Amino acid sequence: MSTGLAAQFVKRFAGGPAIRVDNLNTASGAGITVLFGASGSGKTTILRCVAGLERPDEGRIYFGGQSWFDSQCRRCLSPQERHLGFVPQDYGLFPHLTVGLNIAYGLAKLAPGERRQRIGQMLEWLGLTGLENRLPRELSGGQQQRVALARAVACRPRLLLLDEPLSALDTPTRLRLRGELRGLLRQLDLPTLLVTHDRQEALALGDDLIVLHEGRIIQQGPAAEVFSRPSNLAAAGILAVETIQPGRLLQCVDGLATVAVHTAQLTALAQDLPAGTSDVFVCIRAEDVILALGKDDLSSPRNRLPGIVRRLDREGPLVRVSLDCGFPLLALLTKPACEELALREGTVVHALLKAPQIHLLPRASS
Amino acid sequence: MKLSARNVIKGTIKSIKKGPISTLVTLEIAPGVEVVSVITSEGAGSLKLKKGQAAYAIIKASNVMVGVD
Repeated sequence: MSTGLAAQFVKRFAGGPAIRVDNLNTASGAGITVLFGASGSGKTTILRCVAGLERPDEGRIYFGGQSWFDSQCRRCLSPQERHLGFVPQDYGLFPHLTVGLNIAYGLAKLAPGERRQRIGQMLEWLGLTGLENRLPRELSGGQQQRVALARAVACRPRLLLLDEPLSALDTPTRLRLRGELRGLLRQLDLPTLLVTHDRQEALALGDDLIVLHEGRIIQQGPAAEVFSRPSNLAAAGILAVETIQPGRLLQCVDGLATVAVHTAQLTALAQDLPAGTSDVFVCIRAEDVILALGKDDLSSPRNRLPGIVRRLDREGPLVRVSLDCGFPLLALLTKPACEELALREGTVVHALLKAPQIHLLPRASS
Repeated sequence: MKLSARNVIKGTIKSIKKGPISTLVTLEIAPGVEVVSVITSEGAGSLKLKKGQAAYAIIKASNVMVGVD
């Protein structure tokens, strides 16, 4: 039996769409599972149902073999009985209580000495020592987040839930804290369920990924695998695979598929395609594309597509290059790489792509 | 030829393990420092790779992970 989280439930909203979780499973033991999807896809509702803050209409929720919710036997444990830590989107700190008292909130059952010691440990671990008498409004966004995390884990929960933990922060702080949060969650060594709609955040924080679309789970698995091999078109769209083009399978030889995309021909691995597939979607991530100036026949990538630069868009330290390779293709390069190749609108380049970086999805014939 | 990839690292081919679809190529960059590449066997064939030959590992910056002890 799974010792992680196992859930299967339906939550209906009056006049709204139903959230239908067919089979949510997290691995046993510590690890970060990310619930990923666009706004309105049901992420927060699922998290709140797991937390016991919302009651599903029917179904079951188990954790570590223990029943938390079962509609058939009318069982529904309170959030306290589930013994979990919850960090809401806005952190939910008590504005009138100091940092120390916020952290102490869930520790009422401990003896005063032990409570003081636990608060001290939390302050030290999260680098908040010296701030225990401040009020939340006297803290930076990052410090508030750490206090919320301290409060959630001070009572040593069995499961930690985080709802969009970085969304309340400005962009530079968010980027800095992303790495920090991952380090902290790793140290905690707790099973963790985290909600985000940010692709980078999901990749940076998640060991496993659950992709949600219109209230349903459409794919779950190890994060890197889900991102590089979305199982259907909706997942590819949500995971923001930049280039998705319809193509036609021309041949399959020795496990390599040749695919026609508009006027271009691509080579990909055929391993994911069911037998008899002829129409496909070709999925390419912009960060996998290498650009070359001049003729390249001295490197291993199977795909060397001649193309023209149509547009360059700065994105922080990166540049998004829109290409016409017979079909629209996006490449993500560093700024120095762009400058070295002196890329401008109209520059003629070759786009290099390894065969395994082109992911094929079966497509219904048109 | 100029490449956008930020990491073009010269090495020597230490081993080539050919499979039906993929070939595993190990490059020795410096004594004890190896980079392993999985390329299609078709790609390995077209480059006529041989053990002991000089070759480059080409890696985009976005594909490099950083870890600490």
